[in-house]
Amino acid sequence: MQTNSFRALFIKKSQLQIQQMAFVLVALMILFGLILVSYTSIKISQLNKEANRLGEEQATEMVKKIVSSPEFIWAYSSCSLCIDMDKVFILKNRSEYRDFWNVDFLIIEKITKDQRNRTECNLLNYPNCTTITLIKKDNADIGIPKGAFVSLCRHENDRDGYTRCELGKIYAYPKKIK
Amino acid sequence: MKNKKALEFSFGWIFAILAGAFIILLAVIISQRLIATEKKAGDTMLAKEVGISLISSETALESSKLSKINFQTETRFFFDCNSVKGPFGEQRIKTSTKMPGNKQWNNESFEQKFPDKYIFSSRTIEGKTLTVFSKPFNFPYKIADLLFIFGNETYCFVNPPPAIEYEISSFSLRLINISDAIENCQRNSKKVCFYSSNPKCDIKVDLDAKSVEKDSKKVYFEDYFDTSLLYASIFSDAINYECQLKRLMKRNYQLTSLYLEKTNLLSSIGCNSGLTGELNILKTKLNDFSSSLEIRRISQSAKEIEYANKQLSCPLY
Repeated sequence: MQTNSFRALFIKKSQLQIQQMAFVLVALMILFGLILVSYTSIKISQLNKEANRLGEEQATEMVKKIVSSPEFIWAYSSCSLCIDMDKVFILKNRSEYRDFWNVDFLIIEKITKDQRNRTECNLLNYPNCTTITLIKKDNADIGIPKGAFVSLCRHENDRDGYTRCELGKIYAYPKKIK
Repeated sequence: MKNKKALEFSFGWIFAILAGAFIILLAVIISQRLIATEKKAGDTMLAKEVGISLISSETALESSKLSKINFQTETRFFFDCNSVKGPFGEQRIKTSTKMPGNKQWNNESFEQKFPDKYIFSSRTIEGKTLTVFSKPFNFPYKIADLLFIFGNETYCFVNPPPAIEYEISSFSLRLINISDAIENCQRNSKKVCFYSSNPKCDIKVDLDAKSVEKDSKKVYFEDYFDTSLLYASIFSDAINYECQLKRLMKRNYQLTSLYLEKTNLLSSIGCNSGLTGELNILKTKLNDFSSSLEIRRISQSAKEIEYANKQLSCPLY
């Protein structure tokens, strides 16, 4: 009788120990899990920051590069910051170039006396317009775009034909990494 | 009878040892995975940085440009070309680094894709420094900048024609030596022979047939507008050359369409170039381009456009 009650007490004690151990194990696993989750989220945010830093670095280089790319460059004279306005206007409607420069935002603007009066170029008002929006992706989280002053050149056929260059600015913002 | 001298373990101890071992094993596996992921992320960033550094290596108005990119650790670069993806194809770059004192290379990074880059080099380059040399490719107008990337390999040009010799000397590339006989070349350098069928030559250039033979494979180039394709065929393998050439012709197709529309725009202001027919022919040929063997056929149309454009009062390009 006494042996039976002692045995029951021993079993109960062991069960309690196992339960304690199981709780400790579960708590340990949760702790590890939490550490892992927080480490992963910190790393992912660092990686995102790094990727966006690289993207911004790329945009600065990219603005210079875009201006001298064959699709933009004014090829008649050796002018490194001259853009062929006609080519850019044609590019506006080309969907093939949407992902070519890896940017979410690419705009070329003519600098005029009245900066408030801005008109988007289209077939009806070109070249008497100020802005050519090449890429402006919907829902893109666009920060402060990088800009560079350029000369916007095109051929004018009146007065026996001449090259007309106006002061402008090109703005670009790199593609955001999601 | 009672003294058996056996080691007695309670259930609690056995359970704790097993659970502890499991936890330690799990921690080791997870940390190993994390380290591998970290390395891969770092290498992927490096691949992206290579792409960005290459932007400043490209030319603007210069006829060629030489630059160097240095890395902190020993790095392996993998350059791959895809001519099918999208309207321009893709240049793909992967990297893999090696920690100092470590003999093993990390796993390759994820691919970074660049639709606007054209790299002509060996498929794999190893080292701490990349020498990048760029040259614009015109056909007849500027199509793109070609990037020639070198690691530790050196080249020996045997008896090149004076024009090529002058050009090579002006590059100031230490990786390329010029020699009058194959025996004078450095032992480990790749021997590039002009008009020679010497079996010791690694690369044979025939400037009359406008072909380059390398690893028993022949590719063709065109050097009427510039010599960039000649160097491209020398410095890259046949598969990469053919792939990049297809991508360049795809870019040319898009640019020709652009100039075709510009012709119409200029006509509307009374400046008719009369180049619509030639541009349309070039566009059709570019659309059908499949291998370097066709480059000569296409160059005929490009030459006609070049000639006609020079006569115009308001030239197209």
